[in-house]
Amino acid sequence: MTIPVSTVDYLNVSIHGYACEVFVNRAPILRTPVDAPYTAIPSVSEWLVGGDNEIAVRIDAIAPPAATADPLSPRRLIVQRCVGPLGEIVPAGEDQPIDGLTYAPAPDDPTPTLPLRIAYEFRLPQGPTWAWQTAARLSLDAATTAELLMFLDALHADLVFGDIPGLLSRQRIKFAELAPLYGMTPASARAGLLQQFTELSKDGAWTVEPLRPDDVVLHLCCDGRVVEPRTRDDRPVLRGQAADGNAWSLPVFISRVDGMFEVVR
Amino acid sequence: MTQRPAPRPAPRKTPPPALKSKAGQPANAPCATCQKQQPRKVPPCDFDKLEFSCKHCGVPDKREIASVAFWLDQGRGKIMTNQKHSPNKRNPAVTDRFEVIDPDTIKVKASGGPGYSPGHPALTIQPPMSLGPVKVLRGPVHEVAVSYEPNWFKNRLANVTRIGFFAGLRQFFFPPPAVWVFTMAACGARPAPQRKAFYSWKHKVAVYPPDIFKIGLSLPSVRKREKASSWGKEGKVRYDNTSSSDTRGLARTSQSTKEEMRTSGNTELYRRTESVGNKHGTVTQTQQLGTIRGRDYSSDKYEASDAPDGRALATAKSFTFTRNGKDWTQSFKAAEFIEFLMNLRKQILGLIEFFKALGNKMPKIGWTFSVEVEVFAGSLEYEWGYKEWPKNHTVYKYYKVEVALTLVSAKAEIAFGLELLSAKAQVYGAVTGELKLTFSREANPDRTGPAGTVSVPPSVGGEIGVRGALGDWVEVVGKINAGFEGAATMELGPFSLKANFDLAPGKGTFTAKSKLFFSVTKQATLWEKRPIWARTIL
Repeated sequence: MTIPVSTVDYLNVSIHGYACEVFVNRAPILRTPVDAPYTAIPSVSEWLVGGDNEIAVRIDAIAPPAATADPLSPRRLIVQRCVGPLGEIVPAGEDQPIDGLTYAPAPDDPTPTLPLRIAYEFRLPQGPTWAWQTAARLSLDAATTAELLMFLDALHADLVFGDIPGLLSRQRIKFAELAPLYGMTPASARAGLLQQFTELSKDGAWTVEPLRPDDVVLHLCCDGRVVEPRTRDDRPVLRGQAADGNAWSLPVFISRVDGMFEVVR
Repeated sequence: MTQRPAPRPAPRKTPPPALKSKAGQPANAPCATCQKQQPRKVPPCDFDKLEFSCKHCGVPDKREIASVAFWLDQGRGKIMTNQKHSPNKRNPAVTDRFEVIDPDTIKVKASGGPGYSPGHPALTIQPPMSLGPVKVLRGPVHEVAVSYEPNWFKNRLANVTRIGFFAGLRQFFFPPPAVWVFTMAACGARPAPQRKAFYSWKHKVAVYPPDIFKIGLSLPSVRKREKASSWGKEGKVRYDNTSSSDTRGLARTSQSTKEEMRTSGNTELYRRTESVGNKHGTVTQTQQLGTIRGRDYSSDKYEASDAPDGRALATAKSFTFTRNGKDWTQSFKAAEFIEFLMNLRKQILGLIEFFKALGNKMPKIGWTFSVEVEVFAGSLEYEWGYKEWPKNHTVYKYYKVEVALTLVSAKAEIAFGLELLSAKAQVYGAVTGELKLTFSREANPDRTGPAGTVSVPPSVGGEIGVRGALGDWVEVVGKINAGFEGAATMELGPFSLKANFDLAPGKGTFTAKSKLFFSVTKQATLWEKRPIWARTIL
């Protein structure tokens, strides 16, 4: 894996007509709606590993054919792996894809059985080993689920009480691994988070949505080493309203590292 | 149909008591003066039925009705009529007039009744002021020639130059009728025991012009494209600006190019502006300025010629106007119409300036825009005039339209930088919009009637995307609402064509997805609504 300080790996995603979820090494990156075009360039360096890697798309729904074709917004499913300069805008159309996948069935092809998984693999040179790679494999039995919900409850409490040091202590691995990837030191990243929280919670106008265990769905990913909690309608479980009226959220990926749950992404 | 009958004339007053004569007149014997004041016997004078008919009444394929009649129903004490009305609810019932096409002869016939006083019944004919004085005809049956305003067409045609193309054309769309007023009157005296009398009846005759007009438009496709781009960095600035426009169609080509390049370090500056007219070289302008490698130089060249504008000529030739099959196109000066088309195109191409202003707010990211536009391409034929409806006494607004006309077709490709969710981002993509009318229709007074309306929204396409700087990333929640909006509405009787076409505001909900911080979701407006065009064309 090549991660120079000034560059970042990202996906150039352009999908229309398919409701799908894109994965990097079985970690969910994004989901697309079936009824609207979707384009994004998510950075994924933190999910790439030395050696064998996989980028996959799971198609859950396919939009019916349009009455009139729109050449400026065609049906498509394109995911490209690219590398670009961190902090810079790569203008649309100027991405330099390294590899990628495209799904373009012929018009007379039979309708596929859904969900349909499409994937491709590629190799990267050796690089750092992420904590989630060596984390314990989880099975979502009752005990583990209860333990995970307690951990989420603790994160939720940190947010409710505005205990950012407490929140940061549970994200130690995430800040240690991601800050260098994104041009920061862990300390400057922590300071940045504190500053952002101060702005979002100005005048005490900060609300946190209640954590409802019956609305939490735990998604096991990365071969069971990582858990992503989401609501039943696929929203982050940790979310609320900021002082300026906008919505904030804190998507988290949790692993058991050295016997303790930690936010790793 | 019933109407209240006319009241009978008031009975004359009882004569005053007899005066005593100083000359020794015998008592209770009226004198000669008193004898004169006794009520005079009024002879019966009234009619039972009044009929109006035109030359076409009862003629096969012309008018099915024999006449429009009004008669007195003594039993009901009402005036009855046989008027028929259109089954089309959008056609109002015409009860007060008989409608004909110029020229015609109206027959008025009074019949029945107890008889007439000498000189009765009397028919008073009041034509429009410009068509002569009031006339009184005596007797129960009359044939009266009615007409529309003579020379009306040429009089209005003479106005066209003064009032302009559109207003000039509009005055021929279903002008109002010439209204003649017919009043048939008798004494209304009837022998006892008949209590009700017809007495008099006023009815209008509306005379409409006979002309059938037709306008035609056959406009070739002229697609005009303008491009502009600007790219660079601030500080040790490298900058690269290009701009070009081209027009194709009608066998003429126009091209315009503008380039600007600045490089830091030894400061090289190069500018070029070039404009080339059509392939026949009728209009050409060239201008160059430059400073390169420390040596300044400049040059300007202008070349121009006054050749006719081929697009304007073709547009002028595309319009036709006929009256009863005869071509009167030359009476219309198409300059206003051409100017209208050019202005419309210019307004849409003005989008590029609109986007440029947005792009210049974030010069580090640079911008590139391309706007393609086509206005009024295709054909339109609209024929209109008044026609008598065969089933009753009315005239309807006849029209026949065949249209396959693209009013506006526009495509805007954009890429520019802006600040979104407190971070820099690039907005990019393309939107298209097309307002097109394609249909044919003919007036049917039984069904569609004169109130035919066709309204179409624009067909839109394209999509807009947003991308942030690499690292934290921007996700669009749902879809960015952007593109063209508006409608084209064509009224068919009388003809009118209205359209509006705007660039909708670019709005969306975006999430700045952070790798280390809180992700923030908010609604943002990428650009405000840009009204482009709204007017009644005809």
